[in-house]
Amino acid sequence: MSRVSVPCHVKGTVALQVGDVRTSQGRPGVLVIDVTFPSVAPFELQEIMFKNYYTAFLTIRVRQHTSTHTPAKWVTCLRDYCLMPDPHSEEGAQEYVSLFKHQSPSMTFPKWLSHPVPCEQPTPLLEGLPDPSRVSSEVQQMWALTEMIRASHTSTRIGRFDVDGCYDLNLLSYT
Amino acid sequence: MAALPVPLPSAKMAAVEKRRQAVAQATSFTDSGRPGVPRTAATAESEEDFLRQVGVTEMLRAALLKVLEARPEEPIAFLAHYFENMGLRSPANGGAGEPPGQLLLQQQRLGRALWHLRLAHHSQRTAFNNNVGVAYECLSASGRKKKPGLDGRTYSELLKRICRDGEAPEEVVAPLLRKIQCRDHEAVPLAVFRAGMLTCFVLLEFVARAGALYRLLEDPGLAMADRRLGQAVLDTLEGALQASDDTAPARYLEAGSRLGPDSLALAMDRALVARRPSAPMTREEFLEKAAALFIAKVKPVG
Repeated sequence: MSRVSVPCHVKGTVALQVGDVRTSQGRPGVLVIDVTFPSVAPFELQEIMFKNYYTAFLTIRVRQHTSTHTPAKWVTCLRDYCLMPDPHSEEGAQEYVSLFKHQSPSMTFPKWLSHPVPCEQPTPLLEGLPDPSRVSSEVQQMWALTEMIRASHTSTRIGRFDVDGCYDLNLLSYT
Repeated sequence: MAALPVPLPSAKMAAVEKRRQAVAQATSFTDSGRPGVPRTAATAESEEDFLRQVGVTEMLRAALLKVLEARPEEPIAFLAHYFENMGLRSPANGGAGEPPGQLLLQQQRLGRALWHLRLAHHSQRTAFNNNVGVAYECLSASGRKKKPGLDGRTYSELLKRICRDGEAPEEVVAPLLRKIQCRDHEAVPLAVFRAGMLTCFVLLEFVARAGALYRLLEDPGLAMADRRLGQAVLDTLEGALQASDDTAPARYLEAGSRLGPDSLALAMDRALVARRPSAPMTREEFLEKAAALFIAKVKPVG
């Protein structure tokens, strides 16, 4: 089967910003690029190719129409895929990147991408990474215990009148 | 022998029992140590009177209430300790002819207070607060030379003892003690005492969780954790604890998403990818850093 490039329309980037755009300084970290496929017959996407320009992590989300009756929903195909191992270095900054569709059951959709499953897991895990669910459970309990103490407070004061120990006996004896 | 629930001694129940005895004389049963023979109403009355006079009725009632409040996993052992403790308290206890010295009394008081404080987990707040009250009274009791009230020095000793028994390393809890300790001569009010006890026990649980977390991060071969992993997890926790001025629900949602498995996996993965390996992080260092995050949120006494 020969490979054919699918015509697509790439919209301009939109910066995602939190807070007041006028007053916040510095450029935001997240930019969104919309890609649409205007009036194209159903197709099976095999590969996405692009040239990186100083983007560290990539997330791809796809909106799929499963049928005319159900509303279209967004699906995340790729989450925080690492393009640059160190965002502050040059490695990967201007590379050509290909993302392939994995051997998952193919789905065709009228006007949208079939979602390309990446070669690696959504979060590419190195060997021997600790179990995230258990780590998360412990950390969340620790967070909850800390929050509980932060929230509880005693309004009763112990009745100290000195500041910084100025009533310390040794000091008093000299005055 | 039928397994009967231990009846709470009360006059009402005794009246019901008398009526029951009059009707059903065929079956003999044992309960509360009474002999299993049918008996007349008059004997039952004198027995009940006897129990009440020696104070057993009241004592058993108090004991059972304590069991209900504490819901221990091993009720019999719990009751055994309870009565043992009570034996120490009673003046009729066969002791030496000479009254014990101040130091011994102090140690006994501390021990008893500790026992009370451990009856209920801090999450069982009502029971815990009740026990704190009892412990406070126990420590505030006036001895021969001691004035009534809880002094700062006893309070500090108690805090140290709780942490030691809870197997929390000294360096880990020292910053907390500095924050919530009182000066030796100061009188510690109940509210301060209660807050201090709660904070102490919660910290112990926090340290236990941190220990479990360290075990998860440990490299089985090294028996130590990769510094990058440990720091990444601690940094994520610190980030989630940063107080924003959002209302509580928003803050919890944000923390929940930051501390979810995906987010943590990402943080750990990024740390391993981004940084070169360096010296591993020991358990002590990890616990100290984790505890510091907790202690930072504790309000100092003042």
